[in-house]
Amino acid sequence: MVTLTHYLVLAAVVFCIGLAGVLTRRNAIMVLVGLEMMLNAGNINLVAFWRYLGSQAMSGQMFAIFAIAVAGAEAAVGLALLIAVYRHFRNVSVEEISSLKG
Amino acid sequence: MPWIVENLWLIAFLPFLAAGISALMPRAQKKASSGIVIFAMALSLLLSLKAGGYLLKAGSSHETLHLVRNFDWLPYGDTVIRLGFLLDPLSAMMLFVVSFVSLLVFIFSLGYMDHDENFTRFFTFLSLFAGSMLALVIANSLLLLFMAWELVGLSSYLLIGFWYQKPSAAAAMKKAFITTRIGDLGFFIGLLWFHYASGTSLFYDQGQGALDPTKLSILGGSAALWISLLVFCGAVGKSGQFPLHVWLPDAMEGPTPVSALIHAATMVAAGVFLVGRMYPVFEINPTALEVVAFVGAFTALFAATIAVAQWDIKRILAYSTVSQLGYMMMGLGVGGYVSGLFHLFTHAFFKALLFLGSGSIIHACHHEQDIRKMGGLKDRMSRTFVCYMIGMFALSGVPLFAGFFSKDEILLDALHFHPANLPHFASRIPIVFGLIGAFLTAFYMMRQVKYVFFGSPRDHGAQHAHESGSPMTLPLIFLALMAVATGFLGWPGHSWFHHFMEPAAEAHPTNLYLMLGSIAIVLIALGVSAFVYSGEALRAGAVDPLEARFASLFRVLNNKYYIDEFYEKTFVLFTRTFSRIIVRFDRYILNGFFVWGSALIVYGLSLVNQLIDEAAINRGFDKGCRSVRTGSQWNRWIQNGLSQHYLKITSLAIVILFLLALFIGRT
Amino acid sequence: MDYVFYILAIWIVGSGLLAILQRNLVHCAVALIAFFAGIAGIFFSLHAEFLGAIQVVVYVGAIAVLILFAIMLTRHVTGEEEVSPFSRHAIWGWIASAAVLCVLLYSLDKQMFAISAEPSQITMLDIGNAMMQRYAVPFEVISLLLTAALVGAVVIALEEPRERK
Repeated sequence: MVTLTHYLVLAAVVFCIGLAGVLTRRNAIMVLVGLEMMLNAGNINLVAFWRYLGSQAMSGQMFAIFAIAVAGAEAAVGLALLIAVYRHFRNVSVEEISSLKG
Repeated sequence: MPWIVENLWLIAFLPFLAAGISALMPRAQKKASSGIVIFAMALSLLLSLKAGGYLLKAGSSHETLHLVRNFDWLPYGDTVIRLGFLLDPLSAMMLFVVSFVSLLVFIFSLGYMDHDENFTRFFTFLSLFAGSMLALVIANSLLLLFMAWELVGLSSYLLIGFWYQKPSAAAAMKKAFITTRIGDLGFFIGLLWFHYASGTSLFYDQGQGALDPTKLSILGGSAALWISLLVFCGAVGKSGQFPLHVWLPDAMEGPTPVSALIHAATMVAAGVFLVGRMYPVFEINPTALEVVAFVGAFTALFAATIAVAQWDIKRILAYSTVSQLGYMMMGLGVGGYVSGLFHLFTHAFFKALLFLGSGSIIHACHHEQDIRKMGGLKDRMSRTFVCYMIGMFALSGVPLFAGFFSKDEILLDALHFHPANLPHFASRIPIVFGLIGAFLTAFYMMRQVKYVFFGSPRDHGAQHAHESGSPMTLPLIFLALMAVATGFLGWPGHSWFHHFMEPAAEAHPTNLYLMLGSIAIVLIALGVSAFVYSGEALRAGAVDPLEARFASLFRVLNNKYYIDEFYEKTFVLFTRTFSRIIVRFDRYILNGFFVWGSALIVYGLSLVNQLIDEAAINRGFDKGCRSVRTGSQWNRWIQNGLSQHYLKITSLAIVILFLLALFIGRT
Repeated sequence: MDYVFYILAIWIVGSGLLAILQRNLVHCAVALIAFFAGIAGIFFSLHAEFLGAIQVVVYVGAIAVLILFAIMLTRHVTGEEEVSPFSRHAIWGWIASAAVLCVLLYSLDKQMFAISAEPSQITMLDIGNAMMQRYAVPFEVISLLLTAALVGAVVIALEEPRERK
């Protein structure tokens, strides 16, 4: 019997894989990929909670839909930023792009 | 439900379909594309005739007056947006006019646009234009009407700017779109208000529609006034009434068939049609109709005076259209529902005739539009000449031609215009303006005809002019026949048209004095004009006799009362200045003051800091600073500018916080 | 039907790990597509068919392609990366994410969720109605956001005008 906890564990694992991707990769595109994975983990949680706890309310699904829309916007802007950054630095390694340094 | 009502949507759908197919055709497929478009239009004409025939056969019993076919369009939750199609005398009449004139214009375009490389695109737009107008006519819902209304606006935009390579055409298309948009804003607000007040968007719906008497009776007087005025805003924009008439003459930049279509059957008729459609609402509060009447009467006179002093053959016709639309509005406004629409009906034919005739002339004169450079075309283009004369007589109101009957009916209704809330002289304004306008109309038409057809050619374009081909002359002949025949439908006293449109109401009895008076006015005007523009005046390089006599007045009229310049100096300048101010605000206040200001403040503070540093702290605390520096080495490792690094620390911090919470929670 | 979940879970974790561990960026993107498809499968197994479809359309269809394009535009087409994610500098990243995973699993282990008697079922119609009524405002806001993001992305990625110094 697959329970809610199964889904939550899966989501936790996916989240941490995404986090690891964000933290360890140097290429900014891969950082974005990790972010997308983390967002997906969040969506799994939303839908799982909707399925197992929700009554007829559909907040879980609606939030997931909106999260996907936001993720889409984020990916578009993020990748556009990357291209702009690449044109500027000829590089998308997050190690090199450190103008944020104080 | 009768078949034709069930399938009324086909009338509008076929041209749309043809436009779609033609849009996908390769540019070289001229024959196929124009063939499909014309075929679809012919089918629409047949269906329109069938619809009209059905209404005739069904007779005048009251419940058949509004045949509707409604359907659910957008259900969401408990609300359903319903759309529908409507067949009543008004829409049947308009269907016939629009499809008939459109068909002839399409055929005419075959000849006129023959050499244009974007021939298929032209026919696509034409079909789209006619289709949206047909949809507007049969719409039984505010929403559908508005959609079609905007489609008409869009396609007119595309067609006026068809030769968008010309800067003037590109400017004219923008002007047409923006000017009508001003009116449409009011229309849209009125539409929403009307929907809110009546609770339905359908016009007629088995007694539950917004225009059915039950719903109208709950509409308050002041609400009805505001709704009608707002809706009238839209009609003013589309039908080129003062003060939004400025786009119409500029719309002449489009190809001539387009001008014919815009000015005769489709776009400008939409405004008059809208007032006709919403007439029950206008009737609730007499003030609304009075506004319509005065705007119309003023426009009729105002545009006629401008037309007297124009040189461009199409511009003269454009201002005459504005003036005639003023007559229609005036007719509607003084309570002559039928007479206003009858003028719309007859005007559509003879104005299309005049425009297509001018198209034929322009085509023959190698796209020369200045009447001073024409002349002597009477013998060179005899068929065009005869047709044009018929159109000119109809427009001027010479007896037995169509314009005479319809204009006379409007004047008759204006004569009987006696609203209780107006002083006597105010109620005489429409009839007086109407009569002066009739004089001017006959005058400028005769002037134009004399310049174009009589005398000797004043330019080599006119010298080498020859009669156009049959695709261009045949529509002219058809329209000329209609320009004579349609008038007899409204024979004074026994008006078949009146009976068809409004069987219940009784027309005003014919006033013989008025009729004779207007005949006299027209004949005098024609005579004066023919006398003034003869002999010397038609010589090449001659000054217009009016210009010679009344130079300053002529200049004002020739420049259209400087209204365009006035708008340029006021509204356009205002908008331009306003947007410039906004840009300045952005650049200097927001960017300059806040961004640079805060930067300066920070810079100043750091200068102060530096002073304090060097004067006070440096000496005594040098040693302390050294220990701070070693601490800072570690700090620098944290603040290394790498976002990943920050994220790492954040996640570790979360873990630590969690563990802390766990321990504290335990104890 | 339990095995469906386990297969999907293994599929997702496997492709997710592949997506972040490979050195070749194009391979990463391909693994990412598999990962997104697996998530869509999870949505289907939760009877959220609409979301599953959206997941396929938006993630598998659009975002994955976007990422592939970004890789190609910013790297050589083969997309080799010089540094492996296992190098010394990454160690703290691994430690941090492992710690977060431990914390998450620990808290899941401690927490018990009340399970409702019957799983909820909604149809496409319900979603459409909800979007047009209860969630109409967020819906409009999100569409505005998407428009803004679209315009913004174009503006940002546009070639800067040649120096006007």
